[in-house]
Amino acid sequence: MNKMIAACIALLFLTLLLALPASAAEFELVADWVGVLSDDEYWELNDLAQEISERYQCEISVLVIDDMDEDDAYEFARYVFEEHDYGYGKDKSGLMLFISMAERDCALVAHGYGNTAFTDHGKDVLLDRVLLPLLAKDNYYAAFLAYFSKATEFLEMAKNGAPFDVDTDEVYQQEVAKGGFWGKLAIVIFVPLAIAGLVCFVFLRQMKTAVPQRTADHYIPDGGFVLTQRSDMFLFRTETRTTIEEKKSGGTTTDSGGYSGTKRKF
Amino acid sequence: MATQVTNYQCPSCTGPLHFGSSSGKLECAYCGTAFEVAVIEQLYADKEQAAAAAGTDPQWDLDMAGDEWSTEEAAHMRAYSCPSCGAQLICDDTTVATSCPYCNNPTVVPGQFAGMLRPDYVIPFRMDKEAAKAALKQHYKGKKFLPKSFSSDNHIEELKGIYVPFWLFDGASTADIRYRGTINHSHTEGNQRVTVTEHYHVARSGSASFEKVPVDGSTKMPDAHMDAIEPYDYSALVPFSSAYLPGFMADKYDVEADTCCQRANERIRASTRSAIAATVTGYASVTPESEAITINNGDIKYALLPVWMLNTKWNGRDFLFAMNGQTGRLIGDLPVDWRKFFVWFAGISVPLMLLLGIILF
Repeated sequence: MNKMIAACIALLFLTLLLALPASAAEFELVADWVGVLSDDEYWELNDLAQEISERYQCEISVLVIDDMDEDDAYEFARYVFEEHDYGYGKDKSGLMLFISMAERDCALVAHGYGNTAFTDHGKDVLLDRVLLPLLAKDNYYAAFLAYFSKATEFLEMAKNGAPFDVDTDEVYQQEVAKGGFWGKLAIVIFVPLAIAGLVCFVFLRQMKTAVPQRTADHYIPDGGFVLTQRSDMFLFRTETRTTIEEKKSGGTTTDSGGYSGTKRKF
Repeated sequence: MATQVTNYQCPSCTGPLHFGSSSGKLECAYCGTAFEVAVIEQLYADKEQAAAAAGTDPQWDLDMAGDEWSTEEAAHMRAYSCPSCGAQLICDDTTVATSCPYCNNPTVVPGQFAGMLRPDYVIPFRMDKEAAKAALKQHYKGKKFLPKSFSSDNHIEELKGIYVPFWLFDGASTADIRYRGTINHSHTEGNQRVTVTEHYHVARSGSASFEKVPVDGSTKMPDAHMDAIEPYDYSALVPFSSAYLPGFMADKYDVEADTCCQRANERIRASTRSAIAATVTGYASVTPESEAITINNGDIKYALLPVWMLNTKWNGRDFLFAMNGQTGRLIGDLPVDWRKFFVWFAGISVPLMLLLGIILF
């Protein structure tokens, strides 16, 4: 909660600093508060965002800030989206790319129709395949251009009734098929070899019966073994955590406020 | 070098007596009469006593033993005259019972025990020659990699019933062993699997007693073969009498007990370790950290235990089998037909590959 309050204060400070009113109408769709874009790039991207948003009635925006005081990137972006009236129309449809330069954090937040067009898998692809490779090289203009291009592609797919998701992502499907193929091939080859080896090993052992005795168990009389001390003392406890890899089932997971999103470091 | 020999003769017809493994009596091969071992022992004791009183010990001229043999060779050989057919025979210095190759007369060479410990016990043969042959045929059955020609072409070259000298070690051990044990608990929290590992210091102490751990005292007998035909049923142990020997070969020990005790100690130590380890239960993993096992040696007894040794030859190679003369347990390594091995390997793996390929692809 303290972080949220700090984030509010930080944002308020930034807002006042830029002498901008806290209203969505006053925010550009591409808001570069740090200056990673040149003026020409800035206006070009804003025009592009405006055009896409109008065409698909879904706001595609970018917000770049200097510092969010170590707050969570997704929570911060969600707060800005909600409090500063982002989103198109009544259902506040939109997708926001949020970047905090100090932490080198980025996040995507979707709402309304944005949840339909930008599924969980779609947002992962936008970040991992499109944005992160360019952001990592501090190539912001190219990253934002690619972001708008891919977002347009996803919006078009959603408009045609088949949003970009695990089942419509050819790259993902190929990876799954490729992984599945090699896994199956390994089973087909190695399981029979292991079974045949085990059976033959058992038969082979039957051929060698002249083996030395290592123990003298036969010669312990009944009651000949006595346990005189038995102690089990607890020493300490260790804990290991492993992430369970879940198979992607597709779709979009939204929170109680109807927002969905994801975050990364670049 | 010639020495006095004794063969037990039938009191009825003077034919040679041999120990019958099925009847447990001394049987005459000619008139078929069977005698209790104790009866014959008493009869021969009386005879020896009478002969001693009459001073009728035969006087051998040792100078006539021949001087072609070197001293070292002579030290390991014994010559004797077969009392049945008169043939002059030579055996090695560890043979205490054998049979004449000319008349097949079973003979005990009592002089061979001179200067050695007299056996404390003997387990009489319970399995006969035919049982040994049948057990060998049974041993071949069900062996998938046995060359087909092995069982059909090879023949038993030699089949001997031998009383093998064994040292029987009594002893006790005390052990103090420490382990590190772990117990794992797993549960899921969100998308994470949490594994909690509890570490324990496990301490166990105990003692074990051992009775009559056998170690063969003959260098002629392969240790692996003698170990593998164990165990013997010691309830059939009887005090030693040479009356059990006729009809079988018998060796005397040529490895001293203090040399053999090392093997007995190794086996006792291993059994103690495994008995203690068996009490450490309930852990996901157990790692030994320290171990102190002390062995207190007890009595050592000397016994002759019955073994059938079977030699076969196949493709120029010798194969040795041993059968426990009491329980009938037969062991011996067999040759492997590697062509059969690969046929079996491919015969299992290839169809399985095809089947799995059809199912999975």
